[in-house]
Amino acid sequence: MVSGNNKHRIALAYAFILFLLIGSASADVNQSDTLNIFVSVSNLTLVDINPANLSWINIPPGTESNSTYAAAGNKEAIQIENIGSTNITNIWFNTSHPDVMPFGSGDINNYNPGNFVIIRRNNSNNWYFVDRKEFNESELIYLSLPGGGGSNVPGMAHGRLRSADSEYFWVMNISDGSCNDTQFWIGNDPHSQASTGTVDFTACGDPLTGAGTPGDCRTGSFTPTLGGGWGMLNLSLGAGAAENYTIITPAVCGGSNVSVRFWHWNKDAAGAIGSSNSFQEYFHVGALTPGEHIIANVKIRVPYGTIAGTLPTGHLTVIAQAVGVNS
Amino acid sequence: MKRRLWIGLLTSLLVGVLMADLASAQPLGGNLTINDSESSNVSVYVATKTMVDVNPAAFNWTADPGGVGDNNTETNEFYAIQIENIGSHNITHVWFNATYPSQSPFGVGSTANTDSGNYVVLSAPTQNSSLISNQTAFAISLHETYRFINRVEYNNTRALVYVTDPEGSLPPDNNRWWYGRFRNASTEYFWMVNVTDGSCEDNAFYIGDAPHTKTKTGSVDFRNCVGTLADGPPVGPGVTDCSVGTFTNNSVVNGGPSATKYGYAEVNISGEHYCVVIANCSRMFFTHWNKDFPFNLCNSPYSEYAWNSTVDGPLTPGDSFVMGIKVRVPYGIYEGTSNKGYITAIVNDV
Repeated sequence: MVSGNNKHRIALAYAFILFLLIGSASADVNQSDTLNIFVSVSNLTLVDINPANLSWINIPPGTESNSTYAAAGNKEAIQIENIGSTNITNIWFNTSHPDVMPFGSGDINNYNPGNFVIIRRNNSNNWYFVDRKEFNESELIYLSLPGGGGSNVPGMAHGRLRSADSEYFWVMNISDGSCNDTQFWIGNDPHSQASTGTVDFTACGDPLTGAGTPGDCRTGSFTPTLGGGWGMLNLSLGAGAAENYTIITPAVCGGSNVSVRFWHWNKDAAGAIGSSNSFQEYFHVGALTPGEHIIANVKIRVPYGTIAGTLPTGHLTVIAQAVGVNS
Repeated sequence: MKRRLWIGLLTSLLVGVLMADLASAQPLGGNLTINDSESSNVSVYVATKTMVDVNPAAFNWTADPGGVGDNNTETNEFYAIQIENIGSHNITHVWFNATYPSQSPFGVGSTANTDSGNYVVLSAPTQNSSLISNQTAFAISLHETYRFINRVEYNNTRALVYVTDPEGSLPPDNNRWWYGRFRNASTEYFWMVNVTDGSCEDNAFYIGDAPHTKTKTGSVDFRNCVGTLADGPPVGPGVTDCSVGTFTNNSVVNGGPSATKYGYAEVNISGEHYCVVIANCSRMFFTHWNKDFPFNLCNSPYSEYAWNSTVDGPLTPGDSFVMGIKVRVPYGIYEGTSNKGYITAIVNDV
């Protein structure tokens, strides 16, 4: 028999247990909600190259650089990264040039090491100058020039493509002061410390392109380009045709105002076409996606006759182009 | 109601302007060509290197005995050499060496002892473009400046019956006099050294003023030489026609049988200035463009640098200068191709 008091206590205990059961059931229920994040990234073409400085130290004249001369941190390569948001389609390079003929000037400020830069693709063995500028020079008594055979023929300017320890003599007809369609000659054999190279330009038998004949020279004419402001031609350098360049010269020429540029990677230069061929190339063609990177190997070819000391800083510029980006 | 209409019109206008801006920036569905660029600095420290390049690399002359080989008889018509600073440092001095025979090539009956380097003469240096570019002007202007680099002569192996030594012996007494000739193409100057005490390097040196040629005997009587070595050829009638002086001893004694003993003298031979050096009483050098020891003991104009920055200024990297080049082939050289010789340019920066 349960007393009235006990009944009351039991009822209270049930009520308390029920309360606890109801309380624990309500603590197991979660609430969730979702927030949508919408981001529209703008079309931005950005490129980043590293390292920012490439230094070579104590490199002798007439030398192509190697790791011996590369300063700390210079791996003789640059990493080109697409840090923008669009696929990069084309990549090419510019380099800085000297303003005046540096050789024989005795002035270190007339030299520009950007003019020494050669580049290859990381998976290639083919090195090319980005854009090497050469000037005409005073008489070299051992040259036999076209149109007379002597070393001094009026109207004939001459210079050399100075490629480290190899120098290729070239000759240009500047007699009418207009060089965008003038004739050009260049030797197949390089001049070096041990060899005179091709110095007779009186009877060149090879065309400007294709395989050449050792000991012979090439000749052909410039074609006007860029509204006639420049002349351009394609060249296979040397007898083995290992290096191909597009050569350009300003239309107005004469006296000491003669210069020739041998370029391969600079698609900003006169004579550039919208695609690549063996004489001029984009360094990279195709989609380099955002965040992706490529490597360009970079060396320098220091010519003979380069003055000792720290040359003024030169510049190598990478240009990235995104073409056909849909907005 | 009117106010709502104005707000509606303004809103439409604003939207219209925004749409027009967007359309001009990038037409819907059009293509973008966007460029970006970044530069890397290229820094180069060029090492200090003193280097020189001489061109052309080879010459090939055809010449008669007693003749001169020049651009007219050189295979490629080369008339000069170009000396270029291909290093990275200013060049202070340039001078030359030439190879020479180790024993007399005359009377051998073959070309065995010949050395073409011993025939080479170089003109004074020039950077004058109007001269360099005009071979005629070059030849005329520099004609009188050609000198041997370092011509070597040996004593005559057979007695010369028409030469009288300073003591009156005809032919000269071989036991007391060592004699020969300075062979300068078609002209030859007889010389004598007293060897009685076995130390030629500080003895008297005699040389004729008048050259021996095919048509003239020249100075062959050395009994009454009164001219000095430096005063050049005699002028006027009645003057004696040979010169005499004494070698300055500047021997380097190495203490063994191969010890080299040098004596030197500054000599004017018919207007051509040479540093004459006798070595070990066995070899006579007539040097002008070679400034190696002991030839550097002589002064200008007897011994000269091809390039001297004190006079010419520094030869800067990439710069060059030109010197005419010829060969003077003596009489009595055996026919055919003389042995290949070499001339070497030497530079320094001080």
